[in-house]
Amino acid sequence: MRIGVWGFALPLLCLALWYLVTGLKLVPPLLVPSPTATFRRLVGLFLHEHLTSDIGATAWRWGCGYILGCLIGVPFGLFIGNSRKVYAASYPTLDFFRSLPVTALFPLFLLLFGIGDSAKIAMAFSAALFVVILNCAYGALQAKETRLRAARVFGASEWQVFRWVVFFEALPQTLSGMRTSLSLCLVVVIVSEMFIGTQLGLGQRVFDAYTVNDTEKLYAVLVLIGLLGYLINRGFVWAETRIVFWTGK
Amino acid sequence: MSDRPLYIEIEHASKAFGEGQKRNVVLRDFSLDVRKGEFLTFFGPNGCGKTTLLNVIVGVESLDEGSVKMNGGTSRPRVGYVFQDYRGYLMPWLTVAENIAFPLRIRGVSKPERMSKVEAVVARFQFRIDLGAYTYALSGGQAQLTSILRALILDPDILIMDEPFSALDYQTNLSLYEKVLQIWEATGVTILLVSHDIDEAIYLGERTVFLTKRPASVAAVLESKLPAQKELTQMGSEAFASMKKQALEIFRREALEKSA
Repeated sequence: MRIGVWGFALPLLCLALWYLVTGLKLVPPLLVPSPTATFRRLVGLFLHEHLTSDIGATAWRWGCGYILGCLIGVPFGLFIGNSRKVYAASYPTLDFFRSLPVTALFPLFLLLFGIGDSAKIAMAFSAALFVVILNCAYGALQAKETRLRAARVFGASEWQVFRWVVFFEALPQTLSGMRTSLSLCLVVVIVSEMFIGTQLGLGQRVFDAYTVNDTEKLYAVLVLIGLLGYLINRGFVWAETRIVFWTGK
Repeated sequence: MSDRPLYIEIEHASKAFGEGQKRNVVLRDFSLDVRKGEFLTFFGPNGCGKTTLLNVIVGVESLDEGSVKMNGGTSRPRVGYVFQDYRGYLMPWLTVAENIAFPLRIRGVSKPERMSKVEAVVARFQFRIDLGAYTYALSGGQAQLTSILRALILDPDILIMDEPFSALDYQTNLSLYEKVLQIWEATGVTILLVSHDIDEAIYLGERTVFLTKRPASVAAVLESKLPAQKELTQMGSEAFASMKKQALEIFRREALEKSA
């Protein structure tokens, strides 16, 4: 899927609109600061307010929760999807936990993990876990019957069928689940930082800016979070199309 | 042909699936002898139980009654398979070479050894195929050739081909007929080929087994009248025309009249 030049048209239009609305003073600057002020503030945050430390703290929680979620979710999901019976037996439970918003459970996480990093990492982990499990399981379940049969008639053991056929058959769906949960994890980390509170973290910055009505800072951090999420997702898609190069062909 | 030893003896084979009302008899009193190195083709109506028959022959499926004896009951033969849906049975994430080598990989053969065996089998039959390509980039004929080579890599005693040419165009089929005959002559492998195409069945087979509708049993066996050295032009010969006439009569009797 190539977005090309047209992919830049809409963002530019939004930016132009932003300039127009603020330039013509259609809205008070306290509600919507100008793009120039926002970007100047963003640079200022990097230069004078150690924003990189906040990015680092958020990225650490995001990365830990996400990677742990994948490390446990992928094998577990593949195992569940490898058997129709196990899948049927566990789907309702998994779907229940997937449907439960992790953010609504934050008091529970606070009780279990305290107010430190572990609570936030645990929240990101749970958010990633169920999405990854369900996607992997579904991918494994959808493995082409003919390919499984091909491996079996040539004498493959169940473990070989799993390793050399089911794993690859599930890989496109596995990666798609990992991509979805990557964005989801960032959302959960930001929200957990806002709810639970922390010394460093982008969510805390957003919350700080909100409490003192510093909308320039608020917008600056929001733009940064949006860009971060976008770039990481693009990077993931780039890798994904190269890893599962055979899909759609 | 009778100088070749008996290889597969199927005696009064019966097989049914399901119980009670849903009981579905797929094979009934099926008897057939196959000689070693024979090229046997099967022709029959859709859903008559051909795949079950093949499964029974290689022992994937057990029988309710009767018996299948291989090689006098002495040893289990090595079996190579070729399926109709070549795309569905090949692994798109592997190269042509790794697809061909898949059965070796299952047996724990190291990569360098696998690759040298693949090159050897390709060279032996002088096939032209891009070993480094991925199977999704291949034409149908090349993809099916890949699955044929995969079936040959273990040097099988029996090559089972379940409608291998049904999904390909005519031109491709003609070139693959030649390749399959070439493989058969060079290796002496016993070939059991299920076909949907009456011309294909009687051209390729030394004998063609006509199956009845489900439950499958042997309706008739037609001996080939074509010369041992096959050429595509023989499909236009008088011998071929008379075989086809016989075949059509058998088919009419079994598939059309009995259902009326």
